[in-house]
Amino acid sequence: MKIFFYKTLLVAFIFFIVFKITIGSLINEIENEVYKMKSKENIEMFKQNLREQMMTAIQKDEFIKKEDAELINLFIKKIQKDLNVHNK
Amino acid sequence: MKQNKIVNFQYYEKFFIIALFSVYFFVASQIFVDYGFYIDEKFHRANGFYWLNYLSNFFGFTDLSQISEIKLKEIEGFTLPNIGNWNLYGVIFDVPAAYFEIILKINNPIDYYQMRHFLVFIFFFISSIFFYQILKNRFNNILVSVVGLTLFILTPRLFGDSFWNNKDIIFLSFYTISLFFYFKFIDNPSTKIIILLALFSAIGTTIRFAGIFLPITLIFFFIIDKISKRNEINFKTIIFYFFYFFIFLYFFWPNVWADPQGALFSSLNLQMSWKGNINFLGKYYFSGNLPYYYLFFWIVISTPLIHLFFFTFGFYSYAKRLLLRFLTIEQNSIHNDLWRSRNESKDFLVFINLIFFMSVLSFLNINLYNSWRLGYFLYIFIIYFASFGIYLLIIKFKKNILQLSLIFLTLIFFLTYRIILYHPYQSLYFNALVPTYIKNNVDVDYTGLSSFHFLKELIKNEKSNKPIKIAANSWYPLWRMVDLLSEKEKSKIIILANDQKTQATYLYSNRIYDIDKRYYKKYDIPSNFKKIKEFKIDNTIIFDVYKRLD
Repeated sequence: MKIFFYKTLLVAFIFFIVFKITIGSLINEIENEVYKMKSKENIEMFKQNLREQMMTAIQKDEFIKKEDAELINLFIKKIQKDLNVHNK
Repeated sequence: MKQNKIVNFQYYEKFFIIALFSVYFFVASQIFVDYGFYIDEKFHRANGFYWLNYLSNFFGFTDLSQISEIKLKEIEGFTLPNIGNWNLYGVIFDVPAAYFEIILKINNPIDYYQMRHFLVFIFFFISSIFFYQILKNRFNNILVSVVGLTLFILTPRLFGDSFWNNKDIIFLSFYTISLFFYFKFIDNPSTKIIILLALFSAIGTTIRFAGIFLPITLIFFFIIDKISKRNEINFKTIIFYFFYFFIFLYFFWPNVWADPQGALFSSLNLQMSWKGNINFLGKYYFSGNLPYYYLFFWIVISTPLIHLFFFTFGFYSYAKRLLLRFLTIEQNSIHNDLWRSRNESKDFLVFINLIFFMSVLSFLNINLYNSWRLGYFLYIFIIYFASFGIYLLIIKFKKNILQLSLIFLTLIFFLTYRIILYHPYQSLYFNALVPTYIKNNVDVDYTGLSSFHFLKELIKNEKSNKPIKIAANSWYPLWRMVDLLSEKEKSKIIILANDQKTQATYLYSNRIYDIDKRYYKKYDIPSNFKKIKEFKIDNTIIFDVYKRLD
């Protein structure tokens, strides 16, 4: 009983440490990244970046190239057409 | 003749110890005023009056109730959390401190905060006496006990914190006292010792829930005792202990009186622990998802090399012996077990404490922050094993005891020099081998100890008659320090919020941030400001000051 008790404790402890160092460590890292992504500061930074990019776009002489503008135009028209067809 | 010599030696030993403690007390009483004030002092003062008011109402002390209520209402500040929502902290320090403030009629902010600082020191001083008794009880050797005690007192982060930290130092103190009575319990589980062990372990538990581990180890030892058929601990003793433990726990935890289930549930869920971002080696982590090596790393960089050397030697020697004991365990032999004598069982107790807390604090995503102050009580076990290492060295070199003593003395001088070098910022200590880039890429002055010194110096040196506008360019409520200034000094400054920093003349930063400065602009220094001061100790930057140029 005594030897069994000690060995069980030792095995459980070693298992816990090995699990934590291997899989637990990975989970910890992922959790930390998720926390950072979800954080208020990150969302604020994203909004700020978006604003800055929009300002940059406004200040540029030509933001969308001619080919891209034509492509986007065609794409929007296609969407409008499909929406009209399906909403009749 | 021989008996006379022993009596004389005991007399000198006693004299030497009293002299050592007297010197320590005298030095402390001279320097405790040098220390800064930390971020939570105002909150804990309010906590003291909140519970003093509750207790005086409960016991019908009308005068005390009225005074404490007035004092509580006087403590205000928009940066302070609501005490009613954050009242789970232990009362063992805050209530006596509030009581002394009333009884001694201390009304000057500096005086009552310094009184609290001195009270923290008194707790630590008492615990150091108990730590000495622990070493004496275990090793029965004056040199080991004295060197071990010196290491305990001169552990820089404990030395510094013992003059202000009213949470971690108080917990460490009660854990030390509990451990002493545990040792006494192992020697002789008399009724008096059981009650005292229950008392101090219960008080420890009210301060930090980690204190519950000592009662748990008692059950663990009881199980081992039964399956080993030692029969040294009987069931009645355990019941007796837990009966008193829960009585004292209830008595010293007034929060439980009003709402037992709610208070216990909140404590078990660690609802009072702060959660936020921690700067560790230049990268920001959520306090509950720190790398597993966070605690170990902090212990290594903030503990003096002398401690680390003796601890490594002592811990290695003990672990080796324990492994050998484990490999030779026999089913029906008390002799062939994890320990053979009472002294060895004490070593085992400290060993499982260290391993348990290191594992829990490192691997169970406990919120760690402010370096590793929450784990400072681990120093009890670290210094115990360091003393164990010293004990083994003394046995090994018993013929050269004088030379060995001189080596210890030299090492202690070096340690003292390092402590003087850091004064009064020993709480921010790094050992001599830590490179500068590490020191400046972790949280250093996390409680803003430097802010009061900064304000005093700025006010003293500023010649202008106009009020000086100051903003904190770090995650720190500088407003809380203004209460400590005199009315004349207060009139000379205006504290601005971080988002108003462009209007300030000076920016103060204790270099603690709630966000990663590399990606967020909240703490960027406006272009019309220039750094005028970088306060450093041992190449560790404690705080920065910027001044507006136009």
